Amino acid sequence: MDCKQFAEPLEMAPSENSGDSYYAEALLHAENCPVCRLKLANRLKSERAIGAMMESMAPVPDSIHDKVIDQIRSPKIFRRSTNFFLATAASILLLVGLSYPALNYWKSQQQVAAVKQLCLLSIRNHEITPSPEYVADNSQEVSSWLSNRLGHLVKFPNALKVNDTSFKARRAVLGEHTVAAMEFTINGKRSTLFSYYPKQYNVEGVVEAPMFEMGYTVAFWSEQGLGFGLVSEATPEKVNAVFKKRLSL
Amino acid sequence: MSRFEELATPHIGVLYRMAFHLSGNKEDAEDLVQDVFIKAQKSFHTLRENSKCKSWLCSILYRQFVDGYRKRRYFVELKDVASPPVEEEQSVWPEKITPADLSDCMNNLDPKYRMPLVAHFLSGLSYKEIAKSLEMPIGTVMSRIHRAKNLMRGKLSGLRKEKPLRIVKGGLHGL
Repeated sequence: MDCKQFAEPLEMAPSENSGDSYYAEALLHAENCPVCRLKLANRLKSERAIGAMMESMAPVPDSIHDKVIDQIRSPKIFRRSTNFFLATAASILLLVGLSYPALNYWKSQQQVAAVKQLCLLSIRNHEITPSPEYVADNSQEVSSWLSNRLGHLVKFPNALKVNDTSFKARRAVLGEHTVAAMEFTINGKRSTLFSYYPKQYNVEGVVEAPMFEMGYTVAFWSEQGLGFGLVSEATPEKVNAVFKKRLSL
Repeated sequence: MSRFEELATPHIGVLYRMAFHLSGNKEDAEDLVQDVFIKAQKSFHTLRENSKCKSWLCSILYRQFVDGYRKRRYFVELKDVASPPVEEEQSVWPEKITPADLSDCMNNLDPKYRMPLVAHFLSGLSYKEIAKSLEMPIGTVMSRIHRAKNLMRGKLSGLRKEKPLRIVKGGLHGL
């Protein structure tokens, strides 16, 4: 490095603390060149003076040290952070605690909604006989009649076992499949029960053919005085799987 | 005394001075330093080398300063710094500078120049360490310090022309 080249690092940002390779060569040159050495010394002197002036302009107050120490030793910090962690943990636990039943509830609501939708769909597509084919005053008799007609045992929902209940059985058709439509009243309100099978919805293969002798009630509810129910041979899980498949079509 | 106290508190003075020149007033400087130490205490586990404590604290100070400036703009002197002073650049410092002149120049300096300059003059850190603290390339740090000095020299020279020379205790003589 020569004196001309030395001007750049001198001008750029000379620093006694730099310790950077950028200045190594420049400092080496200054050691061997009295003129540049003097320039550098003067420059560093002025830099030091500016730095000293800046330091003198900002006298460190005696209190700042104590304030900082107090602050970092203050139990408030730990209390605050402890409280924060406790609050966070409690929130998470609460969230988890609430979300689990909420999730289950949401899932059950989804299932109910799916069953409702499918049931309403089936009602629209049914050709229900205009008059009851069988009338009885208890569910066992209707169940027996329906089981004979359908060729398998139909189990009624427990919800129907109330005193003020009357049953009428109708034969219904969904496409080429025969299903059972049970009309009943609960406390004078007319309700209908449908029995169906997965294959009636052309979803054979989606669920394994049920081998049960007894049907499963997969849904029962009352809406604006009209009750709907579904009886299936498939387990509720399988029926739900059918619903999902069916409803996505 | 905790390990954190042992390592960090010796730098309170340096940090306060830097905070003072960044914020421009004593109250904000104290707040800034206290905020820095709270932050530092919380993230002390991130300090990998004890010898880097000062530059680590400087980096926290810088972030706090930038955050505070963005959120609160409590550094009132910086409101009109969008366009830096356009005084003619000088390569040498004027012969006489008063603390008031220097303060005036600092307060008119764009924050992007102010922080590297303050770190350069007060922290005792190398350019490499400053660059790491400010999360900037070393070339950027050097050019900003260079630019800041030139702007300040230009401003100070302008002030010299506007005001009669005065001898002030603590001023620069014959430099």
